[in-house]
Amino acid sequence: MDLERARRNLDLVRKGQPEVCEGSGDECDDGDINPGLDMDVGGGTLIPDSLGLSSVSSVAESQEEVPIFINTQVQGQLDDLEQENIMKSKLRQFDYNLDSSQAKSILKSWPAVKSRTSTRTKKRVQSGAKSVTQTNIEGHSKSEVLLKKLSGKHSKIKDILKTPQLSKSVNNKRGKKTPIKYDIYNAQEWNHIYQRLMETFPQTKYKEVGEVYHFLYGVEGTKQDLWTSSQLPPDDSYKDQCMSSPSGSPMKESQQATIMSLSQVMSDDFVGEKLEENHGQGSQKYDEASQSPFEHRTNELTSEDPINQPDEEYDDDDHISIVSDTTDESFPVPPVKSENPYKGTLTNFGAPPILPPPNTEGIIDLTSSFKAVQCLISPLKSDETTSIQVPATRNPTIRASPKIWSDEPRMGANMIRLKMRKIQLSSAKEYFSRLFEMHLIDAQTNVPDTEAEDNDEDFCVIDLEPIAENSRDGQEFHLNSQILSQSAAKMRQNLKEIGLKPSRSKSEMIASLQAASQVLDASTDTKEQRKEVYDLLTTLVQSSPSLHEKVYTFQPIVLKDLIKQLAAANPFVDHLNEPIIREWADMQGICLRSS
Amino acid sequence: MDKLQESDRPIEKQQQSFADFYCCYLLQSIPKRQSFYIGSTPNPLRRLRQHNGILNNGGAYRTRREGTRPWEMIAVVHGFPCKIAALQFEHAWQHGYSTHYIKEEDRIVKNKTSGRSIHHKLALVRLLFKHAYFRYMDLIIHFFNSEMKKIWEENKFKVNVDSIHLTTKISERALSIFVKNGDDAITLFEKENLKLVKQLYEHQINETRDMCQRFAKRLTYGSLNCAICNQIIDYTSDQAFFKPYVAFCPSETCKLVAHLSCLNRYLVDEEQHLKERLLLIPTLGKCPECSTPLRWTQVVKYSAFLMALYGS
Repeated sequence: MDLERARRNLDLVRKGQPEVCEGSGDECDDGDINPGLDMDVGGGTLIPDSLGLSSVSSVAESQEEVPIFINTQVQGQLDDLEQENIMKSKLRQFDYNLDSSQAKSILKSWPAVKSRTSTRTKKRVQSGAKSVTQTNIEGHSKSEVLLKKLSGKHSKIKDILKTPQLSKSVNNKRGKKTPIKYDIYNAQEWNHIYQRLMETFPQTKYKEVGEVYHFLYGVEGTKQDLWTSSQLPPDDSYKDQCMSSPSGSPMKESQQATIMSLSQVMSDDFVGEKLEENHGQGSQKYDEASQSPFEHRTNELTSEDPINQPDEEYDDDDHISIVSDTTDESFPVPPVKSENPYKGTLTNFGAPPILPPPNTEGIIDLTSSFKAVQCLISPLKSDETTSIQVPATRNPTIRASPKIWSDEPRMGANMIRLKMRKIQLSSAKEYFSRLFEMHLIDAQTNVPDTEAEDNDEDFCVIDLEPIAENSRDGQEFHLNSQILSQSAAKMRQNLKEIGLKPSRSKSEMIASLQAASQVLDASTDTKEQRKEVYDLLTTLVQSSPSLHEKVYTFQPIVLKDLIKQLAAANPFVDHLNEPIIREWADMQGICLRSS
Repeated sequence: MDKLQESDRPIEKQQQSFADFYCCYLLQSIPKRQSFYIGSTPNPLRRLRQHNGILNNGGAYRTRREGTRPWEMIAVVHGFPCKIAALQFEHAWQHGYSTHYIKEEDRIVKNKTSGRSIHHKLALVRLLFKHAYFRYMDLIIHFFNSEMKKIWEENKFKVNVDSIHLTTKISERALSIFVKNGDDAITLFEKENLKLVKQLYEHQINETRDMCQRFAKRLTYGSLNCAICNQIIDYTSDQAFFKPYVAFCPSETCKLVAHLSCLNRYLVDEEQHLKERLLLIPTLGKCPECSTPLRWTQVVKYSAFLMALYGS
């Protein structure tokens, strides 16, 4: 479903922005990356308010959706009224500062979008803010500002961060609507999409959607699309500006600034739409960002002629916005309706992580940059990832990516939490995709601004959940169905072989078999399961010092008491047949007495 | 003699869970050599006297049948860590055709009326020694009659038991084939047998007492440190916390002192690794200090005695 959606989105984007497609041939080719491209377009505005979250799902289709995500995160952090006020003031300044009429027009259009998004979800609003920041950055893309940023220090960086926040808030307040060039779906269509998503992933939650966002962001963030988009202006006017900029250096600066904004956003939770605007401050960030994979990506993208590929740039913006969203994951969940759209987004996004990034060039650059960065800081090197010890899974199975997402709600069971650079995210995904579901938990929102210099790379926290577990659940379901389908005689035999209490009623047999299936490895035969039962009992005794002492001092234990104690430790023991426990006791040298 | 034995018992305060000398024994009628009797007792000497009618109190219904007295105790199986285990062994020995301690395919006695020869009786012991449950107990079969030991070693039914779990002993100057040459011969043979039983019993009792005294002396020194976890053990303390089960190495030169739980964990860990399955009780193992082979039942036996005497 995701792939189809993405392709459809791509087609739409191509129709709407043929130029962009040409510029980023790779992106166009890869349906997975397409969502980002779509994000660039303002189509998100078309999304009905009720589907605020769904807009995210539509990210592939429209640029706004992605920015919306960013906005939500930012807003979560920007809850404080004071910050909002500051941001408002700053935003106004930016608006005045905008040099190009095009940028202004863009800004106007963006705020409109924001207004919509605000009504829908915070995330959307933020995304809109980002687009604005990009426009601002373009307008401000001056060598002087960049130099300031580069030479700047913590305070400067902080200022930069604040400015973007302010800009965001202002944008939100303005409630401007960005022009929707690539609106693909109308409200009805969105509703339909949302419903479809709900049908396919009925249990998806808002958080899951956010995770999907993270996932996408990580994958694409490493790639060029995000950065290029961030660098480039959201609208055609933006493209023109970029084109107008004669020297590559300013472009880089702008890119850097955008990068900085991204990194800061990651660390600060505030996606700086204005970061872009604050090129001077952004320069410092950029220094930091240079270490981060994102910067590399951006550079690569720039090399690819981001200007030529405005759509891609938009996509990048979307990605950035996604990053901000990731930071926002911790924030309270949007309304129920929003959840559904998120689900939809999840489905849409599912495809991109699987597929390779569209820009091959960008990928190459990224890899090189990754390696360099990884050597320095990354806990997980791409090379080493294979050697990473994965929790033993009894039944490793490969799952389709969409399924993985659907499984995400199950978070928390046997998860491995990794902290890694966002840059590495994409490469890590490749390694882990088969064994784990990846959940992006935290975009390192907690990192203070001052630390930004030290922590050049943006870290993100990923939860790896063994897919095998899911598969095992699936197996359990399968087993349950198996149990239910068995004949009574077969059930009785299984009960006997496993060592469960015999019972006459089928329901009791089913109950005990199901209890056994939860404790024992269903994949093995009954003989192995018997052995597992013994080991279970032995470990239960070992875990009880007093009982263990009785055993190894050969104090006779009354069988009923023993069973009672063991059952208290693990209720499954109640299902075991008494002769089985006797046999186990004999094997372990436990001295039993009848009374 | 009885009084002496009773008074000689090293520990008056012995706890029921770990009696000093629980054993199963095999009697053979001296005048009627094809008659056998299997029983169990904590005091084989007294029990034999009961069987032979020297002691009037105490039941000996089965052995009172005419023409069967006196009885010769030809072998005892000892080393049981508790009375229950001895009774279980006795019952299994008596019911070799139905006990769950012998697999059906291994059974040499198929029904209640068969398997009355000495070969069957001794083969049953081998089969029981083979079972995992009794292997934890390091059982010893002790013969008072060299002829019976020959039959044992003959192993007519070819019961294969790992020799590690098969400890066989024989009394010095053990009796041999009974040759009937007059009424005195029976009485003499009976007395000789009683002497051997008494010898074994007293030896076991004395050994237990000596060991317990030795270990108790070390406990009176005050606080000791567990050789494994280094926590304090102090049987002179009033607090039960410092008086858990404590394990000593039976070697006279070894200074090992450890919590019984620590030693158990230590030995079980090693053995689990070796056998690749989960265990609760170690069967083989060496003293972590001096590498003397440890018999877990012995360690536990002394530990339980000390606990009964001085602990809690």
